[in-house]
Amino acid sequence: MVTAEAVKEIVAAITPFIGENMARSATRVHCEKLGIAEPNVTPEQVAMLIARLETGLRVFMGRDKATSLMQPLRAKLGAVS
Amino acid sequence: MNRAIDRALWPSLSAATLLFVGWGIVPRAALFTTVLSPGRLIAVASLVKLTLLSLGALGSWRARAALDADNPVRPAWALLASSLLCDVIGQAVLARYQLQGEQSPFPSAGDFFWLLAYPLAGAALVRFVSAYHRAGYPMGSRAERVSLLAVTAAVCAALSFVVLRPVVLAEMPPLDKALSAAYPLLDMALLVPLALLLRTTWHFRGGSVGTAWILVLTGFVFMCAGDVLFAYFTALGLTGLDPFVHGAYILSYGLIAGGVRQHLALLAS
Repeated sequence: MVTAEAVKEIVAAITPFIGENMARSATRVHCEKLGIAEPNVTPEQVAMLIARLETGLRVFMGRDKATSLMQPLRAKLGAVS
Repeated sequence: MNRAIDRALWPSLSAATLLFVGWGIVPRAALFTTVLSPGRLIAVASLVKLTLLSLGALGSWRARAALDADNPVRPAWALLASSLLCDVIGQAVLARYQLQGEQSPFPSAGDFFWLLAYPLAGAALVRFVSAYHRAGYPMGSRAERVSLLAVTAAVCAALSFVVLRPVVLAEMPPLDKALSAAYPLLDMALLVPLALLLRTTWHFRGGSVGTAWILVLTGFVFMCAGDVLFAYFTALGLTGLDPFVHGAYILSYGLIAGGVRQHLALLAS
């Protein structure tokens, strides 16, 4: 999958909650930590990126809500853990 | 029920705040000398404050309950709920007098609970900051946080000097003076973690988390403003300006309650 497209989808999903500024910053930082780079990302990397962001969201909305928010994204992006 | 509360909260808060600001600006207007006499307005203020504080306390407790046991902000919500509960009890002590049209005593048993509310609120704010930092969000460097802490502490120390001067110079019984000085001092101390949390949550601006926190923290700023005005006006004997103090507290409690309810909406979204 193209990295930029995956990142765009993920940022769009979490922006309503943590704002565009933080959505972009958090995604970029986690991408760097996970070694995700352009041009392509593997399904395993997408799964890890979503899991990291989900952990961060739990602090605001709890585990269940964070999971229910990220689950459709996993399916859409074909994330494999 | 919850939707009805959310729909009614902001228009009611605006109306109540405007009412008390209006009373302060034109106290001799027909409305304030006939239908809404000072005694009735103080009773209304008392009920509005009790309602808003109770909404905030209950909402904070529900936010705590909605989170998992291992969620790092759960204790912070419990502390905030306890702090607001102390404010509810403090206000309830005064309501007994205010609803009967009697002069509220100062000091009173309510002061014990109001004073207790400060360390609980401070501890809650510190725990929120700590939990959000540990959640892995990029929040800037430690040096930035230390700088902000130092600048805020210095500004608050300077403000304390200005605010406390008339209180210290006023002729009052020692206990009254000590309490009148304690509130603004505790407010200044509370502004330090408040600034830290505001900086932290500012990173979330544009999202529902950012909006909810800006409301809660603005509410705390108005609470500090209300306390400072109260101490200042009491020391200077300016009782005619009490409506502005009521207005500041009502706005403060309403913003806190509104922000907490937005957090609840986030948990239920």
